[in-house]
Amino acid sequence: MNGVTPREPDDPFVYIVDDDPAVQKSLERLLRAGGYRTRGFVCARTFLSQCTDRMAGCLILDVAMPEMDGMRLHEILADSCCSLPVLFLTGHGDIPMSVRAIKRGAMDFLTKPVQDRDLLDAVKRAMEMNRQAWAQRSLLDDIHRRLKNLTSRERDVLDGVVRGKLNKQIADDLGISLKTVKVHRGRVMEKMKADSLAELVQLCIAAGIVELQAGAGPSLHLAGEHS
Amino acid sequence: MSPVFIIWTMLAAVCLTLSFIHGLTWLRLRKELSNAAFALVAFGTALFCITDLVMMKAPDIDMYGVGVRWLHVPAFIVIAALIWFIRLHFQAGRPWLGWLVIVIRALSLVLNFTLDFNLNYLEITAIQKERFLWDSVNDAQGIPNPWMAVGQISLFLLIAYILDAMVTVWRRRNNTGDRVLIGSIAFFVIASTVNAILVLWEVVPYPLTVSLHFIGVVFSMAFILSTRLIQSVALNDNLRESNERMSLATESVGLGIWKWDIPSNHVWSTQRWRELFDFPDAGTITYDDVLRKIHPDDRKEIGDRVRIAIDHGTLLVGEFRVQLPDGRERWIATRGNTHRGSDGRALHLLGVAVDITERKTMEMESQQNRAEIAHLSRVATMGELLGLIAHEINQPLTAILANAQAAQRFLGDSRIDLDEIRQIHADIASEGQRAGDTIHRLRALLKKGDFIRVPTDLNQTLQEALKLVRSECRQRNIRVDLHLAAGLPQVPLDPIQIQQVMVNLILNAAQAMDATNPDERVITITSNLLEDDQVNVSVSDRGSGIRPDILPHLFEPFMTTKSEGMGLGLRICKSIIESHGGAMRAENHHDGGAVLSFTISADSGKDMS
Repeated sequence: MNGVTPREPDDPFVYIVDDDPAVQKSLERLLRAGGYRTRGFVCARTFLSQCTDRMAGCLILDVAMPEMDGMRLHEILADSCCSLPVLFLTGHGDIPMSVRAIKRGAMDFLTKPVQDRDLLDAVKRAMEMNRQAWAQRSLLDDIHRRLKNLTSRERDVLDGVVRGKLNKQIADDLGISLKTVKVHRGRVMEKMKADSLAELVQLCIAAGIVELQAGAGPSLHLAGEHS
Repeated sequence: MSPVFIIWTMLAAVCLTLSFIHGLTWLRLRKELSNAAFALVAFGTALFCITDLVMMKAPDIDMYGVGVRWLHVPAFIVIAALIWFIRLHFQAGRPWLGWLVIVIRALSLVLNFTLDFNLNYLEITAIQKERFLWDSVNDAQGIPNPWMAVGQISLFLLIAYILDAMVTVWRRRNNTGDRVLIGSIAFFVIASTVNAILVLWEVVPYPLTVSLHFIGVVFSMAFILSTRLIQSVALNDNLRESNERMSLATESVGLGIWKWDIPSNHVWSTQRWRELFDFPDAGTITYDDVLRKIHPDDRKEIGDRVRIAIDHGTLLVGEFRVQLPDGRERWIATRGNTHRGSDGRALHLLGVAVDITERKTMEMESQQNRAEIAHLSRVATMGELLGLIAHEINQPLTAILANAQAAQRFLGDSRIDLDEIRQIHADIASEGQRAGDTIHRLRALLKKGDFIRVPTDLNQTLQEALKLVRSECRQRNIRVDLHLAAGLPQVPLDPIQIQQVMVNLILNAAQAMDATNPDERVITITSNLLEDDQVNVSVSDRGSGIRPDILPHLFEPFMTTKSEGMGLGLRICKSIIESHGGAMRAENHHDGGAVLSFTISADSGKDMS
């Protein structure tokens, strides 16, 4: 079973790491004017020491900083459990640098001095993305909770159903009667809060129980069998 | 004509002639007092010859008595003159003894003319003829006057005076002529004294021939003095020759010679010097005329220097411009020495002057060249710095823009927080100031101008330089550690030039650590005070150090390991430091990395040229 502990995100913030206090302060101000709550850091290490996996919002990162620069911090964050989207802000961004950053998963690459609209748009996108990510994550947590409520027999039946097996095949495989399979199947639909077979399969795909197969998706099979 | 008559008149003539010659010599060369003394000795000896002749050939006792009486006049003259001569010529003999002789001799002269007959005889009883030099001469007989002892005491004292002087002269051991002269003087004076005693006390029947002995004195003195005359003529020739050589030399280098006679305020000079100062070939020149020729900007300083040289007896050294009628300026260097009289008063200032316009022009050109090269290097450095400076300005610009736009948004809000707006404006102003400072520093560094050295806080200069390259260091993940010594003395320097050196050194150090692990990229800048008021500044990095084969050539022009570098940076740095009278050094740190350091003297009394 997946070891799932329910995770609730902290309140979303725009985190800013820039070693220039004046720049950091002005960015915070602009973002507050744009309606965001902000937290500023003048050093990458300080941010790292306070970084948790419950952080929500986004991170605005200065590239050039002494000791640990923005790129290095991004690298470290990518390997950690922190999933904040990163916006780079640089004095003189060159193309190879921005390509590298984007490849590593950065949301955006902005140059200083930055126009408020550009920054706020980028932040808005990042915040939305992070919000969706957290929503996605809580949905997954919910599916896993439902899966845990299934008995082992019901789980066996579910596995058979989502892999496109007919009720008869499942009954044969499990050595139980067709009628019993049908009862289990009804309870699975009920516990998984699925209104249709298609919905059930979607939930299972989201939870990672079923993998999509190239060429012939399971939903095609199932749809055929259902009609 | 008897032989004695002929011989004695001739001797008198010879003595008079010598007296005349040396008297004239003294009249022409007043300083040569020994000539005057000798002229008196010779004159007295001539008189001696006459009185001797009178005595030897006197027809009767009365006439003989006249001769004896008048004998004391030349005796006084010769003795006094001889004492004077010995003092002047040998600088020997005790003055008190000399004066004693003269006083006693004067006393005997007075007695001679106040006593009844004369100093030597109370009465002359008879004259008898003696054979002397193929002739018959008088030999008086009479009652000796006891007062005669006074005169003879003076003679003994004279002998003592001469012998004492002789000892002094003989001890000197350096002048054979002088030793022979004093020896012969002593000999003849003793001989004449013995002769006088023997004759006058009638111990031997012999005529009084004092003159003969003094002739010996006169001849030996004449010999020595003429030798000196001959020497001085030879010296004169030498002098003329060396004068000619001197003028040849001075003409070939265009040296003008001048002499300012201070009491008369008259400046004597060579033609060349008149040309240098654009004076007419003839006509008197005063010191003030000379000052008027000097450029007004230099006039006061030269005047001061002349005053100091005269007051303190120091060497006058000066360089100044002379204004020519056609508006050009001529640079002149001069040197001079003060000569003082025996009373310590400055008598004249003697010196040389030479045209240094060409050298000055070259100096100024090379100064200009140096300034241009330094400017070029600054521009080159700026090229490297430009990106960083742009970044440095970018930071405040970012803050300003963000603040301004934040303010706009706050103002659009229905609930305006005025405190926030005020704070924003203050921040915008301070960031604008920050950008302005950066531009100002950049312009100062790029400015092409004269170098002015002013007493400066070196640590502050280092920090200013660091501000220019802070972004570059940040860009390269470099930490800069400052270890600045507190309480450094003010150092006379051109802050812009030193900043230029520092920017170069820091950028070099930064570039040297491209291959260093980012966590270990540290530049350490230290300043400290060494002994003798030397201030040392070093910049060390943690790169791989300077390659041993390059280290000895590091400061040579066009030595570079960088593909984009011109290789002028360190060369310029070194010449800047050297123009500050300092020294620059490069070495490898034993822990790895290079250490570039320079030392400047904090002593402003050192050469500032």
